[in-house]
Amino acid sequence: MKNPAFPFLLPMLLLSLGGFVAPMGVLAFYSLSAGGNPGLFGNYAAFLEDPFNLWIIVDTVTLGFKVVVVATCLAVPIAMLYWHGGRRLRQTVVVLALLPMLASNIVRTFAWIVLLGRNGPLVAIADALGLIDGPRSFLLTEGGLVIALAQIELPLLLLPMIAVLSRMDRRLVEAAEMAGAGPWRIMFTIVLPLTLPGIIAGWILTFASAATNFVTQAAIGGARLIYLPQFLYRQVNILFDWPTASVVAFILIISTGSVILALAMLTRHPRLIGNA
Amino acid sequence: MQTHSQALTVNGLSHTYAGQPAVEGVSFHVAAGEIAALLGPSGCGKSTVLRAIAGLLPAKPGVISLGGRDISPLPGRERGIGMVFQNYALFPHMTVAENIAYPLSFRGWDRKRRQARVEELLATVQLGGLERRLPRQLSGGQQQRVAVARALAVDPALLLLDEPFAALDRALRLDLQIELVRLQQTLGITTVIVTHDQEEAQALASQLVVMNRGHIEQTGTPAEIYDHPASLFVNSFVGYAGKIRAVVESASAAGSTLKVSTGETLRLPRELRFAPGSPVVLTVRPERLSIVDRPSDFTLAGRLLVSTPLGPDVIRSIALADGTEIKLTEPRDLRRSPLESSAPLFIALDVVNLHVFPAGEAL
Amino acid sequence: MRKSWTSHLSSISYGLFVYGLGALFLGFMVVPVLISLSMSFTSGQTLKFPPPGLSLRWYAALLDPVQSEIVQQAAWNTLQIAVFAVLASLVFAVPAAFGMARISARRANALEPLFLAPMVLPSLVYGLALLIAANLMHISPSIWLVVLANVVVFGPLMFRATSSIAQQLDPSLEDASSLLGASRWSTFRRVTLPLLAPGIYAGMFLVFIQSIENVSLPLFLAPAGTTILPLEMFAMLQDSLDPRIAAISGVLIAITVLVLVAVQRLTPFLRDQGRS
Ligand SMILES: Nc1ncnc2c1ncn2[C@@H]1O[C@H](COP(=O)(O)OP(=O)(O)O)[C@@H](O)[C@H]1O
Ligand SMILES: [Mg+2]
Repeated sequence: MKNPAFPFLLPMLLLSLGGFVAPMGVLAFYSLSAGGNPGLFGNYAAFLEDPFNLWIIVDTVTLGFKVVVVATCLAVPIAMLYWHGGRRLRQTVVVLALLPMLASNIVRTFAWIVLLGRNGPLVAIADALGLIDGPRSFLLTEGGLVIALAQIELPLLLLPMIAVLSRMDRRLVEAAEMAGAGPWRIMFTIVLPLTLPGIIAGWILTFASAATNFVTQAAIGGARLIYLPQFLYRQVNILFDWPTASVVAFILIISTGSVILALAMLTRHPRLIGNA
Repeated sequence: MQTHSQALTVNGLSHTYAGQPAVEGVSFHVAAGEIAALLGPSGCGKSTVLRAIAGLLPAKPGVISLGGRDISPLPGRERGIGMVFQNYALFPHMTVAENIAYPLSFRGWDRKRRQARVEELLATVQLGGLERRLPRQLSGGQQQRVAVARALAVDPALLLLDEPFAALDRALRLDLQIELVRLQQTLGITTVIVTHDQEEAQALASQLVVMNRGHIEQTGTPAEIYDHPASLFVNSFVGYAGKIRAVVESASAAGSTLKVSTGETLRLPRELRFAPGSPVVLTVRPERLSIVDRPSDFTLAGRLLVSTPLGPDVIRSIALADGTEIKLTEPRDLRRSPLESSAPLFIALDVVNLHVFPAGEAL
Repeated sequence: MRKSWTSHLSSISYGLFVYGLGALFLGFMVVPVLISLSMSFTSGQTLKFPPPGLSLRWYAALLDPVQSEIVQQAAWNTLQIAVFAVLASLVFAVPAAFGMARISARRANALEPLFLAPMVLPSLVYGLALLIAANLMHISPSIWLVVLANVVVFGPLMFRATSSIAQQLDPSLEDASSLLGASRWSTFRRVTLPLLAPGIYAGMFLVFIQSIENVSLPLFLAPAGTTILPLEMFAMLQDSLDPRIAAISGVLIAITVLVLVAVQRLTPFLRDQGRS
């Protein structure tokens, strides 16, 4: 190679090929060939034949969607607060959005175990309001898991939205105001549509992170709520069934990846290009 | 399209941004159907005044009335004012038609009626056929016209434009200026246009409001302002003016004498309202100066620095005896032998029309 | 003239939405972490909220060599893994970022996805791939395998942080340096490296924090007899809910903040940005 930059790239290139591409290739080959099922895609066919497994796929993708929906409901008012805020309020919102990032996923999950548990404040509040009869726990429920994941992944949605809002031209909103639009209408027809590139970027990050967040899913969902990551973990460390685990690994990539690709396609819409 | 044009009155308008006063005590009147231009250097508060009229900023203190009614307490969206923003503020995610129909959709118009109105407006601004384009697929001039169409959509009583030509090429600017004036005249809509370009202001407006540092320096027709500037600032901002320092020697009804910074003495055939000994600045328009062969009571000696042809005229830069530089324009005369550089000459001042301002004023 | 009552109503409801819900959800974003932090100061035996009293007993318990021998060992192992991962990432990613800025945009666009891909993939999947590939080569799980996985998965963070700065470097600075008589090496050391420093420090921070926090990679790749802090915490989350986990969380957050402050101190550039 004549290019003088090549020696600088070589170590990373070797690491990528040897440390990443090769193991992933092995995994792909393994998922096709290991195990006792006949045919090229025998392992996959065997996995997909079981309706229980299909439900796990559906549940995983649905979990991702539910978290995205809840996180969006939480993020929109905060983003609008940022939009209307002056310099100080805007700084405060950004700092508070970054603050949870200082705590690791385990720490944030731990917080939710305290909050959702039998002795936690949420149960006490719900009990006081008469929403539930008698002390119980919100752990091991899908609702609890969705709320926890939504809070844990919220900065991933909020920060891209704020990035777009901070660059948005205020005159667009003033133009809408002069056209006679009220605050709600401005939010729905101008501010949010123009934030869409940030929202979609945030949806991708939130979805990917929530659907594959093994630690939170396992710690809050427990053994009763099974999603693909935990299923994968069990195949490896409990059942020692590596062929099935490798199939699950690719199914996890494909099922979440196709949602992510679909979302990414949305950003190519001609009306979204160029703004943001 | 008929418009119910209404007169605009702004009275005692002030605004501060976070404690920093941006405009103070601004008052002016625009008669129904007229175009007024808010003119002034960048940062002098023109946009602030415009935004207060629009209702995007509170006018406290101050009263803004349209057609005789006080509209100050109303929010912008209930004032019935059309506005073209700096850089147009077209909604990038909406087509041309959607942009223009946007204000119509809040007025309970059905689809058919909206569509007809959009077509009518597009025809007015000569953009028929571009309904389905997105703003980024339009040229700057087209974007500007879409912004005008959107501002006019609901038949506003007043049209506000903030630097509508600033983002356009010089060549395109003139065409669009003419088009805007024609449109304004057909509609007869009261219009306020903000610009920092004095030529543009003179070309478009029947009334100028000249601003400087947050207050109004002078209001009047373009001719009044050009010929009778109320301050040194207006004199030098609207059109070019050469400045010569002098001290008043005597001032009486019979005439006044001035001691110019070059040491020469000038006689003006009018009374000046300055006490003898006051330092002053004389301003001279380049087209009111002429080159003469012989000195007199109203000439100054000078030396030609450079001549630049500009169309039918030639602009001459001349240094006075003390180095003060002034400009002079005269028709290009091909028969006369060209003046040599550094040639000594005399400049005759139009002593009737030259202006005298106190020297304390910032230049 | 009238200001319509519907307009008042809509601005009141909108104000409540933005300032009421916005502030509430902003609080929701940070409060869980604050609660879990407050739990670390409980004087009680359990993680009941609110804590019955305040004490430092659980921090003291972490320091007690008898009670917390395993946790201390896990922390030490994790620290070693993180330090090696940071050093190795420096070796691979920094030259790559430097080289990337010196090849044609077309080649860079082709290489970049390859370099960033490991970051995008669920780390659980990559952990499995490396486990199977290592197994085929008769390499059993070890600390070094965990380090390798961390470098592959989090090294791209270092690459991206450094690369974003390297791309903006003005090549004429290096030309100027060499015209002034500097050798290639001293140009790199005295001109390029100091300019890249902010990206490098940011990358070191990210790789270090991720290596301390990540569960999925050691989950499959750590040897059976070796304890690793994130695994230890994950186990505590799942069964015992030992209040020491709150104290560990507190320590981890403190470390994160300290490292972040250190990075900002080390980087005059970042510091100036923060001030402006
Ligand atoms: N949103 C704002 N916040 C603070 N100061 C502002 C704001 N907008 C304008 N200003 C200041 O007010 C003054 C007048 O601004 P503006 O009305 O935009 O001037 P112009 O339109 O004549 O260029 C300027 O000094 C400007 O810096
Ligand atoms: Mg302006």
